[in-house]
Amino acid sequence: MLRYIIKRLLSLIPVIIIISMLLFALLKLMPGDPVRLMLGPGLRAEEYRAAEIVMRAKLGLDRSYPEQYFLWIRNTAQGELGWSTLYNRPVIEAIREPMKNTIMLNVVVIILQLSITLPIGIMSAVKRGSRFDSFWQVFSLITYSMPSFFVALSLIYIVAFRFRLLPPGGMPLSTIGTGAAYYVSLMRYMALPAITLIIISLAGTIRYVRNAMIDALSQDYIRTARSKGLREKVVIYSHAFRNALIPISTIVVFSIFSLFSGSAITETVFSWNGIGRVLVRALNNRDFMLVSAMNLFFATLGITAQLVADITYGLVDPRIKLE
Amino acid sequence: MRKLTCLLLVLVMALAVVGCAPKTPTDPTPPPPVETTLVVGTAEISGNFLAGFGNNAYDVMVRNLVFGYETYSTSPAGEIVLNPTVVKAVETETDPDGNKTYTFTIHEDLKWNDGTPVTAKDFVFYTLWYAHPAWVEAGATSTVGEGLIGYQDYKKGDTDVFAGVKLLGDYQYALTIDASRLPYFFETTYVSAMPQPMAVWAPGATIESGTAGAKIVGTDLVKAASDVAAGFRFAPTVTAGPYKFVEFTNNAATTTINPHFKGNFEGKKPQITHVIVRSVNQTTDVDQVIAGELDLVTGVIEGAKIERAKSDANTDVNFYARNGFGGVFLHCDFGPTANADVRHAMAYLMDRDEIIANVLEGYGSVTNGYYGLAQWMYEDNKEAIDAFPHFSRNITKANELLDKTEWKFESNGTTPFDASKANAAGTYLRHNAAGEVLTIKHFGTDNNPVTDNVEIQFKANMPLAGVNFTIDIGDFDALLAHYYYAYDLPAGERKYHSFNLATNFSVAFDPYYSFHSDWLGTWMNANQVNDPVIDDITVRLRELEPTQVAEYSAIWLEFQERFYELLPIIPLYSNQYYDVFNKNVKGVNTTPFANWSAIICDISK
Repeated sequence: MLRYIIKRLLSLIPVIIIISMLLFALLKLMPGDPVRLMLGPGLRAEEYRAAEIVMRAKLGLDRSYPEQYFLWIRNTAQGELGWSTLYNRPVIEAIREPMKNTIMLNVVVIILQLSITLPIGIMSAVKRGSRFDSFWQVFSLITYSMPSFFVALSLIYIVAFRFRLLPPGGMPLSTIGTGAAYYVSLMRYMALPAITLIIISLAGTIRYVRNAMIDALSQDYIRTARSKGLREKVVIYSHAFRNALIPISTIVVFSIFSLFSGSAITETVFSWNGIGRVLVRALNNRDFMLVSAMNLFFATLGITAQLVADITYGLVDPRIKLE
Repeated sequence: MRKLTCLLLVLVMALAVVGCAPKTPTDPTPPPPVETTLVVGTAEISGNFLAGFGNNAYDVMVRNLVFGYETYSTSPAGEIVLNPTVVKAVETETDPDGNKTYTFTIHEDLKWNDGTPVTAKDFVFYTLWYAHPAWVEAGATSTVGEGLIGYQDYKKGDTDVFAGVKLLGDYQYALTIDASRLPYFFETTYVSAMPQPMAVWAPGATIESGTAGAKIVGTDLVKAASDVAAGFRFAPTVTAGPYKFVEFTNNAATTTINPHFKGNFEGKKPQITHVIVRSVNQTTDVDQVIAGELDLVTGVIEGAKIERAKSDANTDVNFYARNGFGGVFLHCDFGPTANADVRHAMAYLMDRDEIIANVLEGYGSVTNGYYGLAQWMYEDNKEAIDAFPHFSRNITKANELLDKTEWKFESNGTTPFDASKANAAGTYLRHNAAGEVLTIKHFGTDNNPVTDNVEIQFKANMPLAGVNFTIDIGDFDALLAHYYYAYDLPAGERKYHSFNLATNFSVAFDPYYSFHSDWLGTWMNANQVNDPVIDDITVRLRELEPTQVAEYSAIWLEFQERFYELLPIIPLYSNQYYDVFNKNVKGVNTTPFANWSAIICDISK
């Protein structure tokens, strides 16, 4: 197993290097000049020239492309993600708070999502063809085909404006204080974006769990277990569910890694100061360093998630040998 | 299996606990019941609360709240006025060389929000700091000090002594304007200053001042500037405005009343205890005011939102004309738009009223020149300005104008163009003698209803005058590159003649920097206007004594007349801005020159 992990980790290095090169090339191909965007028109012509030279040097844009690339890689490896031209501060500072907010929101979403989808998926599989199953199948289809912004705006209109039950967006204000009041306020502000994300993710997960369970329930060992007279609960949870866990574990692993990636649309609609919203703004404003740092981070995260998922298979299913 | 499930659950719970911790502990003491809070919704705040780092309008609102004690203020009516709350006396003296010295004596009871006194050193420090090359090195931009003696040498770093700045005492200092920059109608802008806390920005520093000028000593300015750029910029703790900065988290800036604030230029003090400026979704901002989530949103231009606000019983609005306008901005040195008749013809190839109806849903008006309806000069010359011929869709007129240009032939370059043959399909176009087609290439920004409407209008009308119209749509960055920095584009990459943009005017209206040929080949004269008449007018307009108001107004009219003749910009619309607020918020008498943050001392709840 250890050998396998080391081998996989080593194989990740060239992949990350290629991804980083592609990212760098793509960003350089994008039209626009970050220095001019940062300075904007405003200075007198001669001072503009001087400021432009200083800024270019500061951002390392006065160097050749290969130099810029190696500088970027070196700094990134040392934890220096560069200078955000949009936020006019180091990238690491610009993303610290949004990253925390995204993780906070996603933790809640994942906990609730798994708590809802696992039992429903299992029940749907067990009661295949029943009204319960049909309801969730239809529900899944509807929510699966609804765009997230539609769900978000509908919730804002109904819950926030029509019935005024929850705030339509934003984050808790610091004037609320700390302690219980803060957490109540946090939950209120988080409720609508969390509900939106849960609704749009329910369909996929329910169907995934249901199919995995249906597949497990149709296996011979389930028939054997039943014929042995085991209780149905034991059959479902100890035999079928444990075997269905293999595909489900993939979802769980990827969900945990997705804690760090924001939801651009939902965060933007609800003004939730998360990483997805920051990334959209950075893209719109040609913030090269922030976009490249985040993309490299997400790419690395994706590859790592794949590795962890593979290792998890081995842990979950002893029949799988990782060599 | 159980172990793995437990491990995953523990991980999820641990992350939940970490993620839910509040960022910064705030004062646990609940505010007394008399305290009031104003929550203002804006678009994205970038968090740069120090001048010199970008010009985000919402950052500026926070700056207005926390910074203060400027020597000259802008009144809600758009006048630059001396701030008597700060300045006890100001004297002027002109030396034999024509240099003009302003000697300021400030009041002795001014305090920073931490209770320490504001002295003349802090005012001198402001000019010395902002004009110092270390500030540019820290990534900031500034024109503070421009116009004073020795500015260029100091700014370039040739000397560390700023000749035009002198500290005369604890509460007195002098600034000397270079004779070469005088007379100037807005000369007080050269000597306007706002104190900055020297003791905080440059600990250990002091001002050394003599007959040669003043300089900052006792500190490493490069390091100090870098520290301010990395710290104070995001959290301006020691300031002298009506409010104290508390924190900026999650796109919300929180400020609280500054008990040491002496007053604004009218001596008024703030009445609301806390002011919070937070970023909100612009789609729902007015609904959030109606729902009571926000107290105020500002600068609303969408008709549907304005109507919703007007129809709500608990919501009030205040509106004012934009001190600026939107239009089709033309390059006057490139391709067909280098010809004034072509530019005029373009103005007759669109229906501006329809654009206003479509884009502004009726909440705006048309202008005929480089002015805003709120400017006092417009009020002064209203009759003459309103008598300017109004550009409206007129194909015949456009054809007449184009017949005066080189673009008056059919494709063979010899047969005169016959306007009656022109058609909407654009199969019959104008050519010059070389057989080149008259083509206008336009660039507009994406997701912009003005771009859409300009495209519709030009595409429908230009072929009727034999003009081939093409449009490219891109982001604002690309527009900047092609409009402002076209002079810098490699040969062959320059291709656009017109752009849809908007501009706002500053209180010190000085078109010299935008249209004088001194600035050809720079971003400043972006239209690349090269006209001796405009040169003469813009110089005469600025080279006036501040007291020559009537002369300024008369030359301003001359400028508008010449602008109309040259037409480097086709004016399209000027918005009406609406501020939407709860009825329990009083005193929101915003103007084109003073937004809610500038008149915060008038607002109560």
